[in-house]
Amino acid sequence: MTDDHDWDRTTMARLRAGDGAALGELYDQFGGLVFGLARRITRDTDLAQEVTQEVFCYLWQHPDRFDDGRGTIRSFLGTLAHRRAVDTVRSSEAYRRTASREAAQHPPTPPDIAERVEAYLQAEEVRSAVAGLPEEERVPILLAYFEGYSYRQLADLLGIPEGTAKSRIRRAMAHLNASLTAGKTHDD
Amino acid sequence: MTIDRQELAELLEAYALDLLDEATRGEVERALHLHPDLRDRAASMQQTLSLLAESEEAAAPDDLRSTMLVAAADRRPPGRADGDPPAADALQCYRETADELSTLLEALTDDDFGAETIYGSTVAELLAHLCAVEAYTQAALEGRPFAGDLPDGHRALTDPLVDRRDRSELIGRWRGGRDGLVAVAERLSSDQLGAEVSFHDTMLRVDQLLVARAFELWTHGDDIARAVGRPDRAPGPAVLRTMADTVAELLSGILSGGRGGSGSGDGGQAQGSTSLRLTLTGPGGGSWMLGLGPGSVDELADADATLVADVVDFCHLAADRIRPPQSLAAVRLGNDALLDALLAVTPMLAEYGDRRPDR
Repeated sequence: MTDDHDWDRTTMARLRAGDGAALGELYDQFGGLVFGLARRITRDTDLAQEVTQEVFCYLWQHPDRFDDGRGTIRSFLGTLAHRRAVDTVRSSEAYRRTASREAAQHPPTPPDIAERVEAYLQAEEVRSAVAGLPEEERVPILLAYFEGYSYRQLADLLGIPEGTAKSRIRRAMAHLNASLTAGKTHDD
Repeated sequence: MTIDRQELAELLEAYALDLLDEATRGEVERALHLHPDLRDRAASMQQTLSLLAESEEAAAPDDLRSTMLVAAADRRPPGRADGDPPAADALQCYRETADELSTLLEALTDDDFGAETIYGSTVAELLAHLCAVEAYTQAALEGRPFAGDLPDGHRALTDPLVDRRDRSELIGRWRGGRDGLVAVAERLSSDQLGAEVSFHDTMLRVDQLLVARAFELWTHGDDIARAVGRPDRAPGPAVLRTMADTVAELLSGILSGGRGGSGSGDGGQAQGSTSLRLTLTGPGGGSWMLGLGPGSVDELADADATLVADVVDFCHLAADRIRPPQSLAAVRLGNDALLDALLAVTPMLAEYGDRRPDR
């Protein structure tokens, strides 16, 4: 097993035992990831802080929900953060009203959005993997993950059938999985 | 709504991307439990997507860490293992452990009683020792002197039974001692349970003494089980937690040179105001800050050193059944000298509930 995997197992065992310092160490390790992703999705620092707190409190309350056989703590927290942030955005009436007003005044175009999203991809490995995707796959998956676009919204925005949006995301996911996860596994 | 396998496979990307509404997400998660391969595939997708998230890493506001830790402690107090039942009280701890030993003894044969166990004693001799210590404990709780002087004279009461190899009578004698001890303990008020008594020249609270006795019964039960080819048995989480609590409390006293430390903490006392965290994993485990200096310690604070070990393994160390102490399977974090001190003094706790014939 890798050092990272051992660290994950030990830290989660400490968390289950009620070791509060382990939660602090998890925050030190992954707080920036959770906060950054939450802020990216909510586009609001206060909401991002709420999401971050919720994510770590959830892990503290429910350490049994993490299964080290199905991924890393990093992945688990990333998934939690994304979900909490998306749910927060969806439940935020104010955000929805603002977003729809902005959209009505300045309707986005696919290349604009894709460029904006790609600009956030700072990690070289990730940038490289995303850049390697054909544009017809790259645009929808970035819009779906970072902007929360549904298949229907993607279809409308890109002028393609909903089924096509779905299949493009599926292919994009497979390609990213091959290039990112495989590389990560070997690095770990 | 029930999602079949094909539908589930179709929904995986949307699930991983959090595009589903709450109700559908719940249906998908229930269905994933029925299809482990698809569950793995979804986890793989989430893993990939989380790598995209790495590019978003950003420094969080400075005060968010402390705010989060306080909020977390409000939701689940630190120290206790997740999902465990409440700790057993001291008498329950003794009673349950004694019942376990009683069940084991009932299953043994005459030949088993002659089997050699720890320290060269036979099972019968070990049980004779327990008979004596049970009587000694009862005398201590009642505040009266004990006829037999430990460690040499205490078996005078039971050695004749060993010599006759009278298994039934020996078991009956031990059960009688157990019942007598329980009867005395049941009459004690909570104040009396919290009062100190002298036991083996060490001052212990009565509740600590009962837990120490339970600890010894578990340990010697394992000694006997091993001698006759039966598997070890660990107490349930509630009892184990009480034992671990007592171990941590006594260790804290020894390491800080306080109660329980006199005459047994050589080399274990650390200087200055330092903190050592003991985190015991598994059912019945928990996490304790052992203060090694004046003042209280913060349960959420980082410690100078942390020892992480399985709760049953650590109890075996406290029972002096893991030698050398450094061979305990544990994760060591922080100050090595503190951790070495902890490992060195932990087996000394074996003397608290017992005084073996070889000592």
